[in-house]
Amino acid sequence: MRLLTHNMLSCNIKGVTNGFPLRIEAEKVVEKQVDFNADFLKNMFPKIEWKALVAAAKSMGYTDLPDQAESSMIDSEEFLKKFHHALLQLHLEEGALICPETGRRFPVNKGIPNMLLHEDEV
Amino acid sequence: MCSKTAQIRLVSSHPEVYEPCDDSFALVDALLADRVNLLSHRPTICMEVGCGSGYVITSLALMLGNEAPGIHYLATDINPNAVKVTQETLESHGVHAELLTTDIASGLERRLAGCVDIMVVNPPYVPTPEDEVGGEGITSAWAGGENGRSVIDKILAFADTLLSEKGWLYMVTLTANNPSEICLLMRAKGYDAKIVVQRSTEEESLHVIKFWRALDFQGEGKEMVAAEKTIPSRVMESLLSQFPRLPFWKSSNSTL
Repeated sequence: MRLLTHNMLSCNIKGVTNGFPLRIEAEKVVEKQVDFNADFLKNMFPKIEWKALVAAAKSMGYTDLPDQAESSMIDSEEFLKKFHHALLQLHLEEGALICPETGRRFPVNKGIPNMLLHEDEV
Repeated sequence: MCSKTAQIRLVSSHPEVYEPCDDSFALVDALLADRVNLLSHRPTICMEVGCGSGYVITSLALMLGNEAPGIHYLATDINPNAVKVTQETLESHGVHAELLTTDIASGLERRLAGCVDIMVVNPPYVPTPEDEVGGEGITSAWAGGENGRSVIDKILAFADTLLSEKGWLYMVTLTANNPSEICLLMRAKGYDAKIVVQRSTEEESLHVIKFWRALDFQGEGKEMVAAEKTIPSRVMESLLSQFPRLPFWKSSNSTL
C-alpha cells in the first residue's frame, strides 16, 4: 500500500465521523522505485491531505517531508522529489491501519489493506 | 513485443476466483476500442471495482501504461482471494495497481470523491435470490439478486460519488438487468450513455455501457430548466433504440 492510497482511506464503520486519517502500525516497509512524473504529482497535490501524509511517512520511517506545504512549492524539483518518494515509493507491506475514533484495526498483508467490515459494523 | 492486454497464460487463478470469461473479454475489447480516447483523456486515477483474476485492470494498465506514464491504478474486490490473485496477475505482467479488499469502494468514498477519471466494472449481474448476494467467496462474482441489479445499483451510487467531472464509467450488463432503465436512472443523475460493445447469444445479450457526465445537465439544487423536468423525448428515443425492446417497455412507452 502506497501512501497515496492511505491518504484516500478512511474508516468505513457505520456512525464513525472522525475516521481519517488511519494511523499506521508499520511492521514491514519496502521501498519500490517508481518513475518520477511531475505532472502526476502536480495533479495529485491539491487532493492530498498534507498533515496526514507527513504523519504517515514518519510512521514508515521517512522524515524528510516539510510539515507544511503550499501550492507554490510544487515548482521546486527538490520538493517534488520528496513528495514523489513519500507518496509513491514507500510501501506498507505488513502492518495495520487503525481507526482514530474506534481503534479498529484494518490489517495490511502483502501490501493489501483489508477494509471488510463485520456484520455489526455495517 | 509489448502486449496491449493481459495474457491468459500469465493470469493467476484460484478455485474461489472468477476466471476471465466472455464478459471480461467484452469489457477489455471495449477499452481497447476506446484506447485512443482514453489516452487523449489523460486520466490520473483509474479504478476497477471487482477485479477478480486481475485480467481487466492488468489489461488497462498495459494498454495505457507505456504511452501515458503517471496514471495511478486502483482495484478492489470483496473476495480476499481475488485480490491476492489480481496481485499475482499484475506482477506477472510487470504492472502495478494499488489493491484493496473491500465491498465495492467502502473506505474510499470520502477522500476519493470526485477523483476517479476512469472506472471499469464487470459486476455480479446474474439474477439470483437476494441471500446469495454479498458473500466473500466466488458467488460474489456473479450473484446479483433481483434482476441481477442489487450490486449494480450500489456500484452506480459509488460511481456517482467517485467519478471526477470528466469521469468515464464502463460497465458490463445483461439484458436481464434492464440496461435501458439503468441508463435512464443515470440520465437523471446527469450522465449520458452509449453501448460500446454488444455480444449476443440465443438466450442473452451482454452490453458494455459507457457513461459520462452530460455537459447540459442542470443538476439538483440548481434551478431546473423546464426542458429538463421530463426526459426529452428525443433522448428517450435515442436511449431506447439502443436496446432490444422488451415487452414491458411497449406498455410504459405510451405514458410518456
